[in-house]
Amino acid sequence: MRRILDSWNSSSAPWAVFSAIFCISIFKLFYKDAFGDPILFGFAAYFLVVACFVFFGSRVRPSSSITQVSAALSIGILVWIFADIFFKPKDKAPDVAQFVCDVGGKFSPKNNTTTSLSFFCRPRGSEKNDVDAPENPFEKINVFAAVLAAVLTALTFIAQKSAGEARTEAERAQQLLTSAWDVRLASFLGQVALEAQRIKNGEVSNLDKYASFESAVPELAGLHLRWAEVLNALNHLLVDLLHAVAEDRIDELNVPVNNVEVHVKGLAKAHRDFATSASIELLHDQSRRYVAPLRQLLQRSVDVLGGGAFDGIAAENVRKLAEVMRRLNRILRELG
Amino acid sequence: MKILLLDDQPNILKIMASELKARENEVFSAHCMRDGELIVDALRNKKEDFDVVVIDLLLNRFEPSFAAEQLIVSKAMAREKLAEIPSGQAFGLRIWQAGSGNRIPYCYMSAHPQYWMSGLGNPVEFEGADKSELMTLQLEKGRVKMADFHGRLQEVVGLWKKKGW
Repeated sequence: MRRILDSWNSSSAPWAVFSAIFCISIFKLFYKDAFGDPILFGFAAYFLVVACFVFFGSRVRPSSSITQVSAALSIGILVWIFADIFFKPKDKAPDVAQFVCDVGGKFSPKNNTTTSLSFFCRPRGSEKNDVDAPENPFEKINVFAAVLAAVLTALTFIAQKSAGEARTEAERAQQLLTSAWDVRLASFLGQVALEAQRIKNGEVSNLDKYASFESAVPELAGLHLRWAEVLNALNHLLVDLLHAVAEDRIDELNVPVNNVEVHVKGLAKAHRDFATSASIELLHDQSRRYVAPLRQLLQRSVDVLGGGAFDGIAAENVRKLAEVMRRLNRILRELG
Repeated sequence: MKILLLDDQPNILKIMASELKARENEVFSAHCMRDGELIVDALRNKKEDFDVVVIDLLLNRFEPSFAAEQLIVSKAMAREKLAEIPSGQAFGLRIWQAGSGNRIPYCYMSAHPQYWMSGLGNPVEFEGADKSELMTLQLEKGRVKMADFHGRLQEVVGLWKKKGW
């Protein structure tokens, strides 16, 4: 709706409608006697159809201009004819009904349809009486209809063009938004992949230290082993995250996050149980190398994802992904 | 001894395997339960068996071929109000359910022994084991020195013989 209103404000549609209202007012003020209310009904029906095309055309694939003009003209003229038939006294009709009678009589004198519409027509006798009456030039309905059709067609094209422009602008804006989001997501996933690799290297480094400290300082070696397990679980989680985003399986990330949580809690407890200057230094070192950068990445990603405008499934997935990252961030807070 | 190590951390497997090989053990490694089962079957096809299987208790991924056993473990975890995670106990339960005479001696290894769920299986896993025997069957990662690893596994094998499982 906002998009439609925006396009309305920025397009020539208001001018089209203003022109239409102006024309209707002029007809109403100066030519009411000549044309009366039926033509106003016809106008109203025409513009209603045009409005429908403009309004709904921005939501669905629009019909062609020809279809829009034809549909609007057909409905407008039909309403005009029926209003003319039902609201005017038959003996004063200038008039569309008579036009139907004339055409019917001229082209298909033996056609039964003319007979079926005969209640519209003035009696032949009264027609003869009217021959002497001064002829109103505007009774040439076919001429007027052509002029009217030309005006209405011009107005319709203006409205249709403005709707088309609005649609194009909206689509272009959406495309820009989508491609900007794709770039951000690709950048985020690239950073996640790099972080996963860095963490994997950290796991190997901790295992090397475990092997080297294992006989001399078994408690410190045990902490290195636990750090290796945490980093391994984090690596698996980040790799799973890459797959989950690509394969739309974000719900399944809860399990690896649970796994990380168990390992992190175990590691935090082990650090509390064996608090020496060496273990504290180890904690600070590992936090600085792996935990802090990952937490920063998670925080940035949550901010980026939160700033995106998504619909439907994409929005739901982004919400779930952001929730996973927030939870992971909370878990890692325990390690500094 | 012929030893199967089941752990999803390949780098830890390397360290353990290298230590055990240095003690003239024949060591096989599996990174997931499915691989472990394939290795066990392959050896059985050659009319051989492992002397002991060491199973990491916390794994990274659920495995569909162990869904039934995992479900049993997951329900027990839920009763204990623990977060649901893939457990190597599913592999242990499959070995246990094979019945007496078909079982391969096995033990668990983890830094989180609280994730071993007691009272599972029919008959109950490690039926009749007291607390100290259960400690023997659960090697705590980081607490068991690599130099002692071989000896601890021999204790496990001895316990299985003693219990007649």
